[in-house]
Parts: sequence; structure tokens; C-alpha cells
Amino acid sequence: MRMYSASKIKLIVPCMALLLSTALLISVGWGCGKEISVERKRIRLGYLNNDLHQLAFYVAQQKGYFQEEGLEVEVAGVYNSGPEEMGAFQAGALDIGYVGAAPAILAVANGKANVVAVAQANLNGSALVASPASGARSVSDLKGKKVAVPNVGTVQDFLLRKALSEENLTVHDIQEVYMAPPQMLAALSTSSVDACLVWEPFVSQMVTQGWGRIVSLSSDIWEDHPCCLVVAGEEFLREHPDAVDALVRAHQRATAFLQDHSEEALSLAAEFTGLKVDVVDMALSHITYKAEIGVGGLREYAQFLTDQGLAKIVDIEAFLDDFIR
Amino acid sequence: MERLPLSANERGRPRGLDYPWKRDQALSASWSLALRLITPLTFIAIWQLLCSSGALGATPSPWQVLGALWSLATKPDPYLHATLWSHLGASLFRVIGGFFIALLVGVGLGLLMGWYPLVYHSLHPLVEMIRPVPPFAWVVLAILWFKIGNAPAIFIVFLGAVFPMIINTVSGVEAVDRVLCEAAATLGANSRQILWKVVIPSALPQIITGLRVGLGVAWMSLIAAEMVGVGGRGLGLIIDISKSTWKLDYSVAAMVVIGLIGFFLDFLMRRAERALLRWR
Repeated sequence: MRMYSASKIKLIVPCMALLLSTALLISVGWGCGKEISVERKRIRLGYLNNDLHQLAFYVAQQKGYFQEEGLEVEVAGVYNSGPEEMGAFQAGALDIGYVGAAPAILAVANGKANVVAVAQANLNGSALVASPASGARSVSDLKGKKVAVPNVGTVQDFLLRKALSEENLTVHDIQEVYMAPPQMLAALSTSSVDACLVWEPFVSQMVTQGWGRIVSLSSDIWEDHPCCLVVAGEEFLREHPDAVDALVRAHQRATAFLQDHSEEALSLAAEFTGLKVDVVDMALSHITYKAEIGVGGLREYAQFLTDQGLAKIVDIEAFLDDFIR
Repeated sequence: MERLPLSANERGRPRGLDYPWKRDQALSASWSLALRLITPLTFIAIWQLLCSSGALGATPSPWQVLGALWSLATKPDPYLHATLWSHLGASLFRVIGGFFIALLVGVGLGLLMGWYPLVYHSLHPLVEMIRPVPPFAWVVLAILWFKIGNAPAIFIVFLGAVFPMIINTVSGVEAVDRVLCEAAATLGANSRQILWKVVIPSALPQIITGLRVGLGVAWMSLIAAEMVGVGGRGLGLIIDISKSTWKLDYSVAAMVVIGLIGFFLDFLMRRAERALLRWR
């Protein structure tokens, strides 16, 4: 039986007080750390972690393109997944976001967040990767195998369906498993799944680690398919169109810089992701950086989401007119 | 043992030892039932009001959630093409499986740690270091160790559930009145008899508290558990997938189902507790 004597209690109370006051001091110090600039237009930006598709943002930030446009871009949130980022838009916490076309279209079509696509971040950049143990060398070898995709209705889910239908197969001929990309790395390394359809830099990580080989690049399954977009909150765009224009200009400059695939771009990409240069080098060769929005791809994808019953879009042309600036 | 709902001396306390300063808090059966209904209904009413006022953004209202529950229960969902019942069955299997393994390991280890100082001092630092790690952090390691499917999912539920059971069992054993043990020893009981006849019965209320907390954490670990690639069934999957497709009413409906089942299982545990502790 434990009993606290009066002297022990006397000791505990100051200790607790000390602990609480330390926590308070730290949290206050945290709040003071943020600098506030008044001259430049401040933009609250969000992007996804672990992802190379938003590399243009990092380039523009590091090379000072935003500053030259008179913008001060504050990273207001780094998200694990697109839906979380769209939730932040809905809550009014973001002005601009680099995000997948899928979560952006789904959120807008289902009336949950009001964003407008102002630029393309990239096209392509996914691949179907099979483990050596699966023996799969082509899409038709996947019959009866376990194939992981990152969730229902993603661009990768659509790519898998497209690849299968080329071989007169459907998703019912395989075992589709839903898994976030970091988990896919673990699953493929232990051959717990036979194949994954996933975006970069996960593809190149799997290949360079020897856990998988590329069966098809997504650009071969669906040429110039949409991947990530730059979106603006509708209200922010209405109130500050000039700031959005300036941001898009900086984004275009950064995208042009990336298209050259220079040594400097490589080292910035390695810095951004914390990955090895050989992984990043392979990944960048699969991604097409382009700032001009690929309307055709978005149309086809919006049609897929509607057919799958995942988005309620009555008139796709009218939807795209509103969605794309 | 007669039931006195919500009274201070409901269970786990010696009869006849009443707390006079709490006596005025004892409620009649009808009053306690009324209170039990009024708070949830008020909560739902406020939720509905906040949704109608638009203060909660895209949050689905209770009414929409009810509709989602109905559609999930009566027809296959649009993503995984299975009904609520098969999702519930799959999740229940993982939670109950993880819970029972945690019960065996947690109560077993807890008794050993509470009884033998040697075991306590060897294991305590390790237990206290692993305990605060959130279940989500284990997802990738669970895949590496147990591949995908139910095995890694059950492992993650187990990790969530086992620590409250260990901690409560240890403190239950520590709180056993040493005088009782000494008395039993004086009467000629050996240490095995003391463990089974004195220690476990007196620690039982706290062990059961550990089981109840453990079951709750088991449910809390479910979303992390179902991130390991469990195939096409599971309430955690429904929450995750419908969030991605912005069908938040399905997400909240699955949350409500987890809440209701958790409440029901806790009710069963309290019943079992009362039956086990009848001798008091």
C-alpha cells in the first residue's frame, strides 16, 4: 500500500508547479518566434509531405522567386494526405495549396471545399511496381495477385483499372488492397503484396532498394495524366487576384527551372525530400513538371469519378469551367 | 448485490461502509435513467443546431449521419461494396482478437510484475518506454513483422490494449493488504495459494478496470490497425476512405458505430465484473 506522507506532498507540489511553468514558458516562446512582415503580401500555403510533385514550391521558395514577386509565403501546413489539406481549406486556414487533382476535385464536386485550380504542378509520375518474388513482368501477370493502391478513387486506382482493361482484365481479377504509400514500401519489401501502383518518390525508392521493378510507367498507361495542382481558396482568389497571379508567375519560373533537370534541381530535390540523389534522379525522370493545366486529363478523371459514384458532377464541362481558372 | 445506479457505493467497496458525505448524491432509478438520456440528447441537439447554423462547416449533421447509417446498414457501401455488418464483423474480430491476447499477456505480466520485485524492476522501464508510443507509429513495423492482413492489425490492437491492463494489474497487486497475505501464510498457505486465494481476488476490481480501459484503447487503435492493408473490410477503412472521397457522413456514421459497440461491450464487461465480484 502506498501512502504519501505530508513531506512528500510538500515536495510534489513545487515540482508540479515547476513543470507547468516550464511548459507555459515554452509555449509562450513558441508564439513569439514567428516574425510578422507588413510590407509583403502574406500567403498561407499548404503542401503534402514526402512528395516530389510540389518541388516547384520548394524551388520558388529557395531561389527567392516568391520574394521577387513581392510575396511572403508562409508554410501554414504540411499534410499527410490531400483530404486533410482540403479540410484545412474548408476551415479557412489556407490560401494556396499544392495538392493532388483527386482530393481537390472530390472536395469541390462534393461541395465540401471551395478551391479553384490556378496552375498544374505536374503530370505523370506514378508507376506500377511489382516485387521480384511475384514474377510479374507485365500487367497480365497480375491476375489473382495482391495489388496495393492508395485508396479508392485515386488517380492510381484509375490507372490500375485502365492498365487492367487494356489486357481485358478488371479489378475483380486481382486482389486490390488499400494502403498509404509508406506502408506500401514495407509491404513490398516483405513481398506481402505482389505489386503497387504508387507515385514518386516511392516508385524509385522501391526500385533502388531492389524491392520491386517497374512493370509500367503511368505515362505509358495514360499519357500526360493529371497528378498535382496548385489551387487557391475561392475567397482568397476573389479578394487578392493580383497575389494569385504573382504566385503563379513564381510557380511557372520554378517549373521552367525544373524542366531542365539540372544538377541544382537534383540537389534541391534531395534537400526537399531528404532522399538520396540516385532515388531523386530516377524519380524526377518520371515526373513531368508543367504549369499549364491539362484540361483533357482532368475531364477524363472527373468522368471516372462520376462513373464510380464518388463525385456528384452533373455537367462536367460546366464543372471544369468553374474549377479551372 | 442490489443495484443502486450511480450511487457512490455501487461496486468494489465493502458493504456497510457508506460515505455519509456522498449519501445525498444517490439517485433514484428513474432519475438516473432520465439523466442518462438527457445528456446524449442535449449533445445531439446542440450538434444539430451548430450544423444548421453553419458554424461547423462541412460537418455532417446528426440527421445526415442517421441517413448514412441507414444506407450503410441496408445496402453495400459505394467503395468497398460490403454492408455495415460485414465491416463491423471484420473490425470486431480484430478488436476482440487483440483484446484477448492482451488480456493473457497483460494480466499475466501484471501479476508477475506486481508480485516479484525482480520482474518488476527488469520490465518496468521497458513497459514505461513502449507504453506512450501511439499505435499509429507501429504501422510500418507491424507490416514488416506480420505482413499484411489481420495479423498485423491484431498486433496493433494488442499493443494499444495491453498497457492499461499491465499498469492496472500491477497497481492492483501492489495495493493488496500485506496483512492478509501474512495472515494466510501464518495459517500455512504456500505462495501459490496466497497468489490465487488472496492476491488475485483482492486485485480483481483493479484488473477489471484495466480490462475496461484496455478494451477502449483497443477500439481507439482500430484506424491505425486497419492501415496495414487489411483487404476490403473494416470500420476504420470506411472512416479513412469516405474521408478521402468527402463523404463525411459515412465517416461519422462509422465513428458512431464504434462508439455504440464500445459502449455495449463496456456494459457487458461491467455486468461480468458484478458477477465476478458478487462475493464481496
